[in-house]
Amino acid sequence: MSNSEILRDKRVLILILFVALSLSLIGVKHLAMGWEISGGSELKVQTEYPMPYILPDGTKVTMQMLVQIITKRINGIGVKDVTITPWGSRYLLMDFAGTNPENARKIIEKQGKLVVKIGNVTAFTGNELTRISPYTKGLRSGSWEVPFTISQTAAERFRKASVETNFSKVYMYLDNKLVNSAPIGASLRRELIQGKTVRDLVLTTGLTPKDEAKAKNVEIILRSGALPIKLTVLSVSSVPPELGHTFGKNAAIAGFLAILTVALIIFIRYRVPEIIIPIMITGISEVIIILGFAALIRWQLDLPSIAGIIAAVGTGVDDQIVITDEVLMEKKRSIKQRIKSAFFIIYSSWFATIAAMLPLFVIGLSALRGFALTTIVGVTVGVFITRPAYGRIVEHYAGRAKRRVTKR
Amino acid sequence: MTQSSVLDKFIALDTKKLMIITILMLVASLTIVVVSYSSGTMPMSISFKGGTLLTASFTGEYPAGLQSEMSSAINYNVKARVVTSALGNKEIEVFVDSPLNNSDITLIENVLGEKGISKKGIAYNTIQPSLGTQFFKQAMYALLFAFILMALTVFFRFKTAVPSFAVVLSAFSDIVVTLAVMGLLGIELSKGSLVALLLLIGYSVDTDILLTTRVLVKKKEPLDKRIKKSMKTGLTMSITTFSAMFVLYIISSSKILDDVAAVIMIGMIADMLNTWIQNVAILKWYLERVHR
Repeated sequence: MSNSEILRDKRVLILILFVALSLSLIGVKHLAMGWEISGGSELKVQTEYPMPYILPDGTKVTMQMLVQIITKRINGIGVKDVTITPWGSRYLLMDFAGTNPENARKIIEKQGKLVVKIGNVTAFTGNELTRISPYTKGLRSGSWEVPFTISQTAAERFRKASVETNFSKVYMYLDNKLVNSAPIGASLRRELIQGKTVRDLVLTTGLTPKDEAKAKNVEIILRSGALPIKLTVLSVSSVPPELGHTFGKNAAIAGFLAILTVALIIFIRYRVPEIIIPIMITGISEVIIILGFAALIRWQLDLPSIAGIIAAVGTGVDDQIVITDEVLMEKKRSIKQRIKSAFFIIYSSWFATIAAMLPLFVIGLSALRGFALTTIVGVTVGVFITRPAYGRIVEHYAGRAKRRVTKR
Repeated sequence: MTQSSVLDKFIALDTKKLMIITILMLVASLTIVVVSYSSGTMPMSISFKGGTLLTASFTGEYPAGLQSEMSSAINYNVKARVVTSALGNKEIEVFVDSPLNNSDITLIENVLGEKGISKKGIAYNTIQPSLGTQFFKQAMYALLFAFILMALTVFFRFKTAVPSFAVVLSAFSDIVVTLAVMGLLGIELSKGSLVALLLLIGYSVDTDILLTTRVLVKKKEPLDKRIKKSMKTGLTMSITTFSAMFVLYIISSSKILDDVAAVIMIGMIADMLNTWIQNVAILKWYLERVHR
């Protein structure tokens, strides 16, 4: 058999295809680095009650809502690109690019300060909101709206302020920042002129899908000002970009040298390039495919993920040693049988590794999910993509390599 | 002396008598782990017990008197240590048992600043003890369930009680011995070492599964020859892993990777003893008694 024939083997072709696919994924989508490497901050936040929580007025506050409210408020202080991941029913992990987590912590730990003004006269504040309904489509008008209720004293102040300012626009300030404005509608104006105090108000945005988004936004603003769920920051971490890059670079160099060491040990044991080169190529292919997968699902790489990649490659090399020895040392049986028996061992240890990683992935011990995921993906890629190809290559070169190994 | 003759000599030894080594090792380790856990002296990282950790990368000499200067600056007991890399990178780690507030962290950053470490080179992490305890509980669950699931897959795969039990016992012993040695060497239970312990479950059963499969399936060859071949393959696997971790340990200047590497190295040594003495002895006994 010639070298070009092995390149046409189905299993080898699948490997080449996956490597090419992964390389292009990495090229197109780029690898996302976690905040520990790219620099940034992380806050771990605990909610006062387990979510979802039913408020006294019957509204259900979900984790999803909390995430939206916090995102809005954090964006308000100029921090963009914040990722908030709920963890269990009481925790939120917040990652963002800035390296001053202190401001973000202060914002989260106090309730949002919502002030609603008419013109420049204060009409009511967040804690005077007695009820906020989810945004809906108005039955008659068909436009998107957020109904809400304010206290009696607030309603009186609202009426006075609107008359005083001659029905100027309504402005909403969240944490002293203007976040929304709306004119007072004609029918409300009529009622206010007649001297009625109106407690049930409706903020209408319009008919289009864009207006739906606006209505949702208003609901979030109102809720951030009236949220009776206290948030406590339990952990604050910050890594300056310069230091993060050093961490990442050093880890990558260390990983690379660890792989070179593996090559050296393999060389000492087998001494034949027909074995060493395929082992190294499959190992490197595995790294590329894991990274390709990470790029595909936009997984953020962090230090534990790098440890996971090294671990997966280590397991991969172990498996290749099993295949090689099975093929080279068992003389009595056919090559097919030998590969089959090697794969019994490989599948068994694959099951065991997945079994060991699964709880960590499910429990999701904050940063360690990345590790569990890269390890699981790595060993799975190894068993189903790279190992079959390696088995085929060794089978192909077995005659030549075996003669040289046994001669020694 | 060639590699083969060393293996021959080892196999000629009475593994059943050698098993006293692994049994003593397990009993001693279990005692150490239980005592250190119940007395609260098991070294634990701030991720699992709460506190503050500042990490800074620096070059040059370790600044003298750093620890006491920081302690007096903030009125807490501050500890510092250096993680070095063979490439010349150094990482300095500063710990305090309590989660510090922002102004205390700034005070420490100022002390480091006077030693030439700029704020841009300092990372920090504070964790409330309640969250640390929560993390620790989850870490223990992860470890426990990992072990149970692994044991189930092993029993499912081999479907015979004694050989499966030997594999699971070996993995159990690897973890307990590693935990005990970690305690003795002062290696903290941290995110890094937790990750390593989980990996160890995988690496540990790799060699045991190899041994069990080769010994139980290929009955045509003499037993000693089957064991010798498995040993040759298995030791190559363990030595490869061990050397890769050794290099990682020497080169990396990151605490998490250092922990991973150190724990796996310890575990690999424990695993070589448990696999090639204890597991071999149990399999031999099993084949002699049951399979006659």
